[in-house]
Amino acid sequence: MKTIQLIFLALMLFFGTSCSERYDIELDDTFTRLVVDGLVTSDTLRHGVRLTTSTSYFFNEAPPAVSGAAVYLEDGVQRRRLVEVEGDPGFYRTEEAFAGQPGQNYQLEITLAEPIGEAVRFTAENRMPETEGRIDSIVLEYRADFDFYLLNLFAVDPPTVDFYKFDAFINGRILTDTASRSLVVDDKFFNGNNTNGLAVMFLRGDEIKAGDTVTLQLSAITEDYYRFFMELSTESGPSNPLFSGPPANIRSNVKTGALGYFAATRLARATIIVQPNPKGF
Amino acid sequence: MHELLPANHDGQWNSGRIACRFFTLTVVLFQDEILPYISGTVCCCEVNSFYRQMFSSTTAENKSAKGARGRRGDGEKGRRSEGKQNFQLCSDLSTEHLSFTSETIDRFCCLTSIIITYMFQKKIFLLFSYLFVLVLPLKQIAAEDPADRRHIGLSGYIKDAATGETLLGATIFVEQTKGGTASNAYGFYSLRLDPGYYSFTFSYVGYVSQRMTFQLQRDTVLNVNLEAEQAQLKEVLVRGERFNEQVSKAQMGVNKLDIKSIRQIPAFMGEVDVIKAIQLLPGVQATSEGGSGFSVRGGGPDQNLIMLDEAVVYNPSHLLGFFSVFNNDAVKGLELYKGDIPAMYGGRLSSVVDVRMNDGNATSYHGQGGLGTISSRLMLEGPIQKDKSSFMVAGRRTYADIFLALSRDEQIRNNTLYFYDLNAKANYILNDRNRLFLTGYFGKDVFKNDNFELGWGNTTSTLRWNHLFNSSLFSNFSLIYSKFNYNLGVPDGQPNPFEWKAGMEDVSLKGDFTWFADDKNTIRIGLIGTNHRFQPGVAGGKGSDTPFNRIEMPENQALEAAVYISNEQKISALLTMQYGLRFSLFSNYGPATVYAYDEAFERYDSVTYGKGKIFNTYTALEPRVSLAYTLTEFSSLKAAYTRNVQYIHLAQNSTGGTPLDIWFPSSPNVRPQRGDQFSLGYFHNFPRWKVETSLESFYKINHHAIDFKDFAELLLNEYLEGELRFGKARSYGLEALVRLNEGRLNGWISYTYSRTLREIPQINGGKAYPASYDRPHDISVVANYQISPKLSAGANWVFATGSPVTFPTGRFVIGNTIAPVYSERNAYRLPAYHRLDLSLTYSPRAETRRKWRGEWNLSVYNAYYRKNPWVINFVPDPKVPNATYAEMTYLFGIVPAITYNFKF
Repeated sequence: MKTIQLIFLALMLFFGTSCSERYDIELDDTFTRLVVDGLVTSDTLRHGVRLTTSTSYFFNEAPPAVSGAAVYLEDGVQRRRLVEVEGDPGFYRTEEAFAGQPGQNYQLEITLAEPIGEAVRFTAENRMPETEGRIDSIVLEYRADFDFYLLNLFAVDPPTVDFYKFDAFINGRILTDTASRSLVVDDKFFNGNNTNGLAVMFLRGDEIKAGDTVTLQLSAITEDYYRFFMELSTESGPSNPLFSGPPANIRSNVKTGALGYFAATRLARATIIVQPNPKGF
Repeated sequence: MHELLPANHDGQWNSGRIACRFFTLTVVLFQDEILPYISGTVCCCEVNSFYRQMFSSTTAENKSAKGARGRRGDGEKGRRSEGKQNFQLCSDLSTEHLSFTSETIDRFCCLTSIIITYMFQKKIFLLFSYLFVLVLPLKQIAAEDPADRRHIGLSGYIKDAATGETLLGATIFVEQTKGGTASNAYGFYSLRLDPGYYSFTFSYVGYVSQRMTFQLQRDTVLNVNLEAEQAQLKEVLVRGERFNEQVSKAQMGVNKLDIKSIRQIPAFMGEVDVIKAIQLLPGVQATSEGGSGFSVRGGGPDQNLIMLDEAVVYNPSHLLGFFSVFNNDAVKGLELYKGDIPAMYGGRLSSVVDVRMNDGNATSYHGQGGLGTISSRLMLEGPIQKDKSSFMVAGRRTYADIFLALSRDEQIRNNTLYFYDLNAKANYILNDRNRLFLTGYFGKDVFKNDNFELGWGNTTSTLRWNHLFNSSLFSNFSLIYSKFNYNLGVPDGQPNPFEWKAGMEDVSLKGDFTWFADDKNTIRIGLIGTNHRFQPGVAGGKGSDTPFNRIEMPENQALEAAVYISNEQKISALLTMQYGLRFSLFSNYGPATVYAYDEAFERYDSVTYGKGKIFNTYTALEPRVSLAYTLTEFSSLKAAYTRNVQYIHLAQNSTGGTPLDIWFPSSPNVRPQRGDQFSLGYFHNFPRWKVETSLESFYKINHHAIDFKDFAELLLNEYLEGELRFGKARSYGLEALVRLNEGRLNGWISYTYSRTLREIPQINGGKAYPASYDRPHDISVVANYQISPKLSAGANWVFATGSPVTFPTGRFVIGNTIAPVYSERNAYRLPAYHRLDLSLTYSPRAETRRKWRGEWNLSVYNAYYRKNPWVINFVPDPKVPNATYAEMTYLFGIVPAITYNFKF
């Protein structure tokens, strides 16, 4: 759909003398809510959760951290306490590194020191998918017409109904740090097939150079997290009257009355080194 | 120029008998629905018992059949109870009849058999017997002694003297009776009068009126040819009084536009556009800047029935809606019904746009066309056999891609981008009583480059047969085909090519009878059946090593049928009434899989039906009535009530409208939308100033209004019905119009105040919210001034309250992504929309009689450079971390265009 939208917008630009400019507008405020941003993956590390609050729309500063909360992660076997990281208020991490287990249901429990929206206790749960997204290989394809690279994926999708999130790293640094850069897909169109070089990411020509290591990270995600992420990228990106439905609030799996998401994902990675002459493909 | 021919004798019927017959007919037609309502009233007791007796045997049978059906129905899982209006009809028609091939004939066999089967069950077959009863006496009476008759008929066609083109809505004024009539959609009129001397005035806007006085002794056929007014502006000498159609007729909520006045409106990029002209009428609003979608009295764009020569045009837009599919060279004019929709039209809640194409010049060969900024047009017309048959062919094509080809950049050069329209029409006058018309329209948009291709288009064709049984019974039979489809994909030669196709197809059969019964009654009866076929989408990769699966959405099939009857009756000299009933029927038939959804819209079951199996039927009775009470010679008060039912809906939740339209039928999960509208109006004409004014108010309620859940997936979703939410929509408003039809200065000013609110339990927390078309204040000013015979200027100015929008009232951060927390739905508004367009037309040879006549048209869209926000987005500031700002996008600055139009 994104491609179609881009084509349409190109058409509009061609025909209309469409222009954008900054616009002064006054917006009302709404009440403050707790915002949860947490992730457990199949990697072995100290998994963490960030707690902040919502603000007025033009707050224009980093979101206020929520400190002093008691945060626990429970997987049915073990109950782990997450402690606030010193020097990074609002960020809570497990004390020991561990790897999340596929098929395991992870539960997050938060008890706030001071209530937000009259509530102090919040919970969220997410089950780590069992889907093993094995990547056979990835290929970088340079497109001279728009000066960008496509990152093409060769992998076999299992016959089950699966949902994936793709992220890219350049020399270990995340490139897809905003929702608009990551890609989430359901396998409706290619279920059970070899993806045969499906383009899953694009990188601008100036973002990589010869010798760089490009890593594609595939996360198997739940359907609900897939929908959350679609909603997040829809609502954080621009809309237009041609394609966008009415704006709507983004779902959350944090109960009750909080915003954000606590996700458990199973990861797979593949790496490629950028060749000196990418145009020679 | 007129022919006075004796016509067949036919009979006189007094008003009472006709009203009585109308009533009887109505009762027979709709007895199943009506009897429960009227059985209590004394006056109907006799009728009631009569029909009870008459149908006692069949009713008993029917009851047992219903019982059996009910039991079978109970056994079927996953069907929700549909209440009283929807009963189940599980007729197992032989699959032989229903074997669906692409052959149209087969489809009709099927359609007819289903309708007839249904009608037998509902006893509507009696309609036909009564139709015969109705027609037969006329034949008998035709042979009766003429001395016994009181009324005699004057009928004929009203045409353009130069081209032979029939004039729709031309008026006939009878001086002695101060009454009159207007020609119908085929240019035919019929009047019934006592024998005597009469003066008749035939008029049509932009034409020289003709006054005639003669003695009417027997039935007469009078074909009238009117001369077009010349550009010289000399005062027209013969000008009798006109029939005050707007004031006298009961019909309200209707606007007529002929192509001449549409051409005078400054056009966007010089492309004269029928739809853009409609958007300037009171009660009509464009749904987005420059788009072809429009909302009538608060209804959605899919609630408009847009027809080109009776064929439904499902997507009237080209190039994202900036242009409409109607080529002005091929169009004769249009009528917009927005309130009191006549019984002959149905299937949409908000409006009917009836666009008629030119028949073609029956006397000599002519052409007309233009070279514009974005497209060129050419229309050719002429007689096939002089005064007997004629043809018209018109084509239009854009040439943006020709400019693209000139580009130095290979990437741009490889783009293909164009649209075209082809209209063709032929008509054949078999004899005085029979005419045949064949219409075709083909249009397509193509956009293609190395990476992507997209195309969409409409195809319609109509075969019509006008038959005149006698001077008072006019009939029309039509066979109609209509198709809309689109495709998009990645072309071959690219990695992982794929294609995606979707579309829909209608085949209809229609019969319509107009009986000019006497000087007080005009009765219309008709039947229409449509077979709908929907293909919501097929997508898949091309080639054997494609990673993509083929996703095939199941096709949907449905039948839509209706019978209607209406009468326009002059009750007294002051009171005119128009009333009618439409009985509509909608059946879904297999093959199909119907999913059952629970209260949370989760799928829990499914039932599969075989080929040809009718698994769901809705019926509805759609009454309408309107009254006109004449206050003075030039003013009247009108009131109307109309009910409409809509069985097919558009899955579209954006306001702009894309060609990726998916229409879906009502089904066990989707009840038909129902609309009730009440309107009240005051009409006043000032003949001295040639000014027509009207003030109309309306209140409209839409039951089972359809909306979509948040983040609904509408494309390629087999479970689309689970994405729908149902509720109510209400709109009300006041429309004022002052229209100056003739003279050097003409045009109109309209002001509308209206509100539209929707209430859907699962949306906006169940609270009512303004619909996206809710724009309380709406003003349009359209003016055209003839500066000199060679030069004319046009201007239009529009103003509308900004569209309602949902803005963020808070934000939160996930990773580095700033996400909004929204207000209630549509709690904010965009700034007001206003725009001025100007045009100047120079016709250097306006005064000569030379055959080739050209004119230059210069137009400027958005003349004072108003930056009308198309959308306001909230975007992160790339320079300041954590900061966001509002960004307004507008589509058009000043857009000038120049067009050269010619005629020969």
